[in-house]
Amino acid sequence: MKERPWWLYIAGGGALLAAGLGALVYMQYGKIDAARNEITTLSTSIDSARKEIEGTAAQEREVIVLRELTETMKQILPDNDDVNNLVRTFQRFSEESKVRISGLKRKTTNARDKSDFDKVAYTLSFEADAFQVLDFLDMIESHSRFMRVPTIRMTAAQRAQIENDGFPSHRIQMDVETYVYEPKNDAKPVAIDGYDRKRDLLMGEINRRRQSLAVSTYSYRGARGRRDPWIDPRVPLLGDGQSALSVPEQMDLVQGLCDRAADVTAKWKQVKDPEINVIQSMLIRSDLEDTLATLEEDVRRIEAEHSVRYVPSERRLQSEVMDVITNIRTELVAFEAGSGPSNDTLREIEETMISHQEQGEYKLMLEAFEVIDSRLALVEADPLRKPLVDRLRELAHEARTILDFEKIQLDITGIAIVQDLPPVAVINGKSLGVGDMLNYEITVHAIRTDAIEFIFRGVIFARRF
Amino acid sequence: MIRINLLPEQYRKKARTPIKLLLGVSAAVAVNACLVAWWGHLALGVQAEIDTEKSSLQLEMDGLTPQVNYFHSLQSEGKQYTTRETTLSSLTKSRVSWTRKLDELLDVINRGGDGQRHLIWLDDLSVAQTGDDGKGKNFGSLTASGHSGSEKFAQVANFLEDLESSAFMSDFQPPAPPEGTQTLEDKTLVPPVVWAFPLSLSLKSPEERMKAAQASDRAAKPAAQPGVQPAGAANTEKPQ
Repeated sequence: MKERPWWLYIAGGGALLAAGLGALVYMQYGKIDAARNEITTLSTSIDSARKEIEGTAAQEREVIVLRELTETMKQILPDNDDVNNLVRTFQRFSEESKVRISGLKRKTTNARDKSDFDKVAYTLSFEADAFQVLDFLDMIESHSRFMRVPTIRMTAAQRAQIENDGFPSHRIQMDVETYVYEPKNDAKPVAIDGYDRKRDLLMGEINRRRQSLAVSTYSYRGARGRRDPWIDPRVPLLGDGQSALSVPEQMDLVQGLCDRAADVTAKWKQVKDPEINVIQSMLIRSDLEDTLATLEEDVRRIEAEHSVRYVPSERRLQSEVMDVITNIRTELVAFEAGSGPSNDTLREIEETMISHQEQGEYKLMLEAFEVIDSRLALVEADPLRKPLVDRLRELAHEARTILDFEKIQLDITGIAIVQDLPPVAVINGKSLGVGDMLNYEITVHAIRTDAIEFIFRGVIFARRF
Repeated sequence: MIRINLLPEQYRKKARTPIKLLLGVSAAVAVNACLVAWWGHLALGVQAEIDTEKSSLQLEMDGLTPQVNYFHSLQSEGKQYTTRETTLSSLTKSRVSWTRKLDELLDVINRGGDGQRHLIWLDDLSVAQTGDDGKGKNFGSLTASGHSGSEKFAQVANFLEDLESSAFMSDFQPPAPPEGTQTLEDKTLVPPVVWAFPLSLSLKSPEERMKAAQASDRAAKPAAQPGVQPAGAANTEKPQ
């Protein structure tokens, strides 16, 4: 009876020990499996890390290129300070393109965008002709800051407005959008070893990417003689008169004169500029006299030939050319106060008068002379300018003589030329021979088969028939 | 029944460990000894070997970690810049140059030979560029109320034909067929008869516009040979 429990104790103890050891072995297997899993994970991580590291050089290059592009981005879309300058830019553009801005309203945009670019938008209201609109639009779209025009609404000027003002004022409303580049959550740049050297090696790629990022613009080349398509091109059937030129030609002609008048105005401003030196002022003034005289000559000719009959162009010619010329002449006279016209002015007038004379435009000769006539007395005492004054007066006298002679009624009803007898002509019902006086100013100088020559104020005129 | 051993002590059978017990104890010892040996092999052999391998890999990983971190920093920085570049690029590339479009429209209108082919003028113009974010199918439009100064309505068709064959149309879908109404005759003006017609054009998508621009660039390049004037050479794109 005593042996049995002892045996049982041994068997039980041995089994318990074996079970404990079995558990230890089991747990050890668990640990080994966990360690193996860790090894697998580590191996995978190492593999992926190695793969990632392989791309480090490429990523470095990409970051260097992109960092260098940031400056280009800043140029295309500068920061907030430059947005304030945007309004000044619009002002400058409007002055240069001559559009008349009547409204500038900041457009509300969506709340701050999540991206690094915040939109800034304005609605501009202005009046202009088609080419001024294009000039303005070109300036906006060509500006170094990126700007886009998402909407344009344009209403053509009424015919009555064009006729009243002499130029079209189309009404335009235009939205202009731009963006402000304000990087949010900008990460600290990673330090890259040998950055400058690597950047230098990548200059080709940087320039290529800069080029692709650059905003392309259109090279607008102005009106180029085209008509404004927002102006009704029809002309009155029975207008104020007929011109040899078509309406577009008249508009082009006046446009050319307007440009020249603007050029003269600019030169006159330069002459008056107190900051330029005397020599420069004299040179510009000489150029101004030349340009002004030529412009006056052309305007006189256009007026004499009635070349511009299209009412809008006529009004423009008056307001933008003739009024401008008159004002500048008046100011020039005041500017010269007491000293009289300069040598250059006198020469220009002389050349203009000769040019008119060569083309038989005696009335225009006198008109050119009248521009300066009242001021000639001021320079008579100057021995240098006196010969020019005399020459101008002589030319004016010739023109006046011719015009006066043309006004005289000469009705030649017959001539009689008989051999060995003095020839006789019947003029204004009087029978007159060579040397006879028609009136106290006109003497018959010669009678020929095809013409009669008269002496009028010392000048011989031939009246052909 | 009770058994009583009456043999003297010296003759009695000697008491000894029972064989079953002995065998049982031996078996238990053997089994446990094997288990101990097995555990010892696992703990001191296999486990140690794995730990060594793990330590070696961990060491390698520790060496790689700074490089990986550097790569990730670069990647993060690059991603930030790339987003900006993509945004800016899409902004600049989706822009329609309205200077160019209006200039081209003026060209077409002015090429009517003063009424020989057409004499067109407009009352208004409305331009809207929308949907460049790719969310809609409408990318913008250009609409205008046009007039044709001729009693021949065919001149409107001439104008639309000229428009379709011009560079102006590269960014637009084809226009609708011509339609219009004759306005009141004004005998005080030349020409007295005018046809009013609508002009309505839809913008292409930014991708289509880009393709059209590339196609026109490709077409312009072969033409830009010495002595050959490319189409539209007078008006060219210039980078800023």
